[in-house]
Amino acid sequence: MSVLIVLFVFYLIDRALDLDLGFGFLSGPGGFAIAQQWVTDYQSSDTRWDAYLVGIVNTVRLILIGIVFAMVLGTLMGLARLSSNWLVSTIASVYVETIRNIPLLIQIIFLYTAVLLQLPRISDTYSAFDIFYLNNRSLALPFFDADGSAGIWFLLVALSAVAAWAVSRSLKRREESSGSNLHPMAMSFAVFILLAAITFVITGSPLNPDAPSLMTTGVGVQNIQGGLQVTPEFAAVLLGLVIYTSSFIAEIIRGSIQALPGGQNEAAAALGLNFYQRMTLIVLPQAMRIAIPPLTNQFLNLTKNSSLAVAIAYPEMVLIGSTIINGVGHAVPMFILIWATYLAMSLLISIVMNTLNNRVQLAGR
Amino acid sequence: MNAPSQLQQPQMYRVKDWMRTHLFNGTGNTILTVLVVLIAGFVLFTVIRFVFIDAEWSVVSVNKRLIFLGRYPKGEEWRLWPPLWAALGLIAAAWGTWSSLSRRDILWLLLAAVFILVFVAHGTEGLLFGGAVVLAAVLYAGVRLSGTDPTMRSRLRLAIIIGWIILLPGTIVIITAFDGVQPALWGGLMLNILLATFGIGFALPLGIALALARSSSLPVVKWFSTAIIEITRGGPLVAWLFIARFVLPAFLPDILNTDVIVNALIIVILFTGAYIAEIVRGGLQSVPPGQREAADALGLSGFNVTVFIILPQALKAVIPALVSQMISLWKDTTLFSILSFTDALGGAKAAFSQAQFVGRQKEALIFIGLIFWAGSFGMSRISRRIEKYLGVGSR
Amino acid sequence: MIHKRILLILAAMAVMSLIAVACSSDDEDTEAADTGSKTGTLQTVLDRGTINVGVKDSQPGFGNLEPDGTFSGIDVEYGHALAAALFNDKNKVNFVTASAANRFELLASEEIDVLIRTTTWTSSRDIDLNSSFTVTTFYDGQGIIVRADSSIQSLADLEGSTICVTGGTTTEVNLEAKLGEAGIAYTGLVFAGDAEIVEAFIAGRCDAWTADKGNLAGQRANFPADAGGPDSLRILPETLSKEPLGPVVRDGDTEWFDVVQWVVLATMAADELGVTSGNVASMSANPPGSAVANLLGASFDGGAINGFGASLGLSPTFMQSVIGQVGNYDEIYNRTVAPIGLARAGSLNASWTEGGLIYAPPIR
Repeated sequence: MSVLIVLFVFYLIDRALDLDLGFGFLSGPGGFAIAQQWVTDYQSSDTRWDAYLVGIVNTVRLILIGIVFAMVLGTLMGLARLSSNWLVSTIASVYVETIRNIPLLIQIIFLYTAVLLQLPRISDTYSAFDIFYLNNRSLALPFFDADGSAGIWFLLVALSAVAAWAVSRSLKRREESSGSNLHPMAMSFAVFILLAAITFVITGSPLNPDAPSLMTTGVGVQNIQGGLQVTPEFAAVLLGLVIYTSSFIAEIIRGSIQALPGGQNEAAAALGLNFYQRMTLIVLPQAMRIAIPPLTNQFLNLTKNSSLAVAIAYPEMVLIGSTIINGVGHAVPMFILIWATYLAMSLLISIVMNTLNNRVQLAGR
Repeated sequence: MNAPSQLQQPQMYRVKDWMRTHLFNGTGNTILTVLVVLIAGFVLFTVIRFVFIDAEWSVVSVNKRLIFLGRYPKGEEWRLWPPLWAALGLIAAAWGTWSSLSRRDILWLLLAAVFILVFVAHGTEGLLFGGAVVLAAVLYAGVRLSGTDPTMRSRLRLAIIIGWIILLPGTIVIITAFDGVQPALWGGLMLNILLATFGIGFALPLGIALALARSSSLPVVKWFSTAIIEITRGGPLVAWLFIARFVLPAFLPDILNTDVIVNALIIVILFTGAYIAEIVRGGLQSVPPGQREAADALGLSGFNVTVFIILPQALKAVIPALVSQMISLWKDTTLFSILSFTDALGGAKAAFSQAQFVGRQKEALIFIGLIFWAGSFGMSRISRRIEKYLGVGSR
Repeated sequence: MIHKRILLILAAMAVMSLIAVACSSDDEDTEAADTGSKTGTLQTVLDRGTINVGVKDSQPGFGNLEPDGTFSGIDVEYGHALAAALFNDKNKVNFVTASAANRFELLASEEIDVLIRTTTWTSSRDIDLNSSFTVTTFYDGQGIIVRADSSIQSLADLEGSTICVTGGTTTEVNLEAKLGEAGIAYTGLVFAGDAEIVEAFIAGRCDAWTADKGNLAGQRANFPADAGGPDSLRILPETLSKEPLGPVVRDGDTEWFDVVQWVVLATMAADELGVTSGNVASMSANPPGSAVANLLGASFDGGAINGFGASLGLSPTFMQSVIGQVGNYDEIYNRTVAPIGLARAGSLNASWTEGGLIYAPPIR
């Protein structure tokens, strides 16, 4: 058996050695333009490495925002399934059973072609107060425009967050010893806002409000400039991922809550805690302990499913990778690179979630 | 006159009570109910309006062939009917021996059959499909009526299992042999069904083998299996399918390197196998060590212990997870459309890009979405049935 | 007892799978593998009994998938012509849908024997992608299409617009180069294929759409009536590039290169000589001159038969099959490209005798 396996591995290596495995081609100029960029600033004269980096950033953006929204929507749906209101729980279970049984790819293509592309054209755009725009080219919202010292301010904000966290920790300690309610959450939040505001003024207001505006060129071509613009391609993939993953998260949350002894909720109710307090202080923290391993799986699925964005031309890693392959070939090293990037992302998520898991488990004992 | 109203009154009270406890208990809940009724009513109204008034289903009916068969050549359809008859018959017989249909099941199945007869299969196809339904019903009834005798029943079960095992290779033989249709021309929903069935049919043994190898005491076997599983699970299926298309041909010996669908299928089997291996490994770990020790004490060989003592218990424990893996494979077959195969989704996309059907994406996508939904939902229901039958969780 | 039965089932399963695999893989394939994949596409194709051609599935007039599952277009006709030349049966061809992004990979991995998918002949593709371009079957150029009521009249008006383009094409790179040089800021929106662009364009997702003019004319001719029909679109007069399109084969296989090249050239020669599908039978029986006799593998005035077909490794009369079953260049063009509104006369694709570029070297 072992001999056979060793022979098989040798066969694979032998075949692989015939292939071109260098990564040199990635240093050449990309030649193609990428329209949907965020943070990155790739030009067609930049290298293919830079183009691939845009793909990574676009994938990460999709995953991070996707996980947060899927978690929120999934938790809400999971709680709704347990609602004592028959109508709410029925609708939530219809939602879950419908969404999770339809292939994600069909949902994404549906959202893109049948929903978002059918929004008004830019010439008939919806707009509110001339700072919000919604049409089938973008959802444009007011945002901030950062100038040179913004980097320093972001650093200071991060430090403020650390300070706020320290305040909250010490207040909590004192709360435990004294027994009186010192509102650690509110206090630390106030500290954070105050520090952020002070540093904002000190660094010379590095962020300026940037409202989008509808521009018309000399010949009548319209476009929206400035602000935060969400393209329909990004929105379709994000919505698809969020809706699909939330249906699985809802089931995990429901299962984890049902796995808790019913006495927990009843005892909390007897102590006079209201629904919101019971959920956030008693039920969800304990349910999370059971839910974290399966949730990690769902986050990993979401990460891998983000590659379905190729179907509607959102420039993430796989799409940019195949564009490069089409231009210059070198499929094997390109796919090794894509695979390694996904693996790195999956590992990172696993590590973060395992750390969280360990903390939650310890805190409970 | 008085008597009936007195009889009805308690029932009215019951409805009222039910509504009071389930919908209007407390102010918060009442507001919630009213809000949800308004939103749900609006959604329901929109959906009904769309389905019966706004939608033009001709994009589906004209392109039926593209969605169901893709580029499958005309005149070769007869090859598909025997496998379909056999599959429906086997499902009915299996259902008859292992379980029984509730009234609700029969209602759903009748609804599905009527839906297919009204909207999908007309004329000769309708007759052939109707025949398959009748055959299935007769087989089910026959099995129910005759299967009370235990020896008879166990023989029937063996026959059904053998039938299932023959069905898969038999289908390929019927489709491809005697100057038949080569894999390159398989398409439409038929391709999705074949991919999913083949995928699970080969991935299950592969997954079990990988799981056993991963818990092997031989280091080479263990590390090789672990590497295969983790490498495969590291990347998304889309990337693996691209690899099947562009990279795999360089690795395969020429004899296997015949068709891109076969290459893609190999990758799908490997991908599903890796996930199944992890599921089965969980199952293996859940078997109490005492089982192996007891079997060893009885003098069974290591192979026999694994195959006849450990594996059955392990597999039984993970049936729900295996079925959800099957469901996700069934849904993932739509990814083949990204590689420009004309599967059901590819066919639907081709349909709504035709000039006369512009703007009919909703109809085409909802139609195939419904098909995939029915498949997944049906499987999850059957899985629950099997769980109950095997008493999973009530050990 | 039970154990034996289960083992029996497992054995039966293994045997059935083996039978299935044996039946599903063609015997010819194993033979093809024996001859070695690197020693000649021609022999592989002849042994297989069908030719695998990579074509496009979404461009009317060039390569288009019809609702009944068949393909149509000039590229598809040349696939049929090759099948007719190789097997005397124009239907012994297996069309494989090639996307803009995967076509060269399909060719390199030997999934297809020849790529006929509106593929532009460029130096980098010819040199770097290990492919050889045979003959140009259609001289095209990149153009831009806008809505007829749009205010965009020339390239300069594209400032600030969103332009749809297919990813992985020379068009994409060329658009970036041309507009970049002219200093025109635009947003390029990249799609996987034409079908997706048509949807987005109809919805108004982009102001303009750039592609080869042959493609744009076909898409315009097929533009849905619900969305305004062909008259609601306008192709800008500017041509951004030269796009010579034609069949592509793998590098380093001159035998196969010659076959593909000369089947295409011979259809052009037939056009020049006036041999059509209607008169090919009488012309072969009684050739009007030695040029026609050479082309069709017939004897002129009782002279020896030219070995044109035989030296290619084909039947001497292969062009009789091609012209009889598919037609000459003019017939193919008029059946496929002319209906989408691209007249041959006066274009680059007219015969050289009429001022065009379609020119076949002499067959002798």
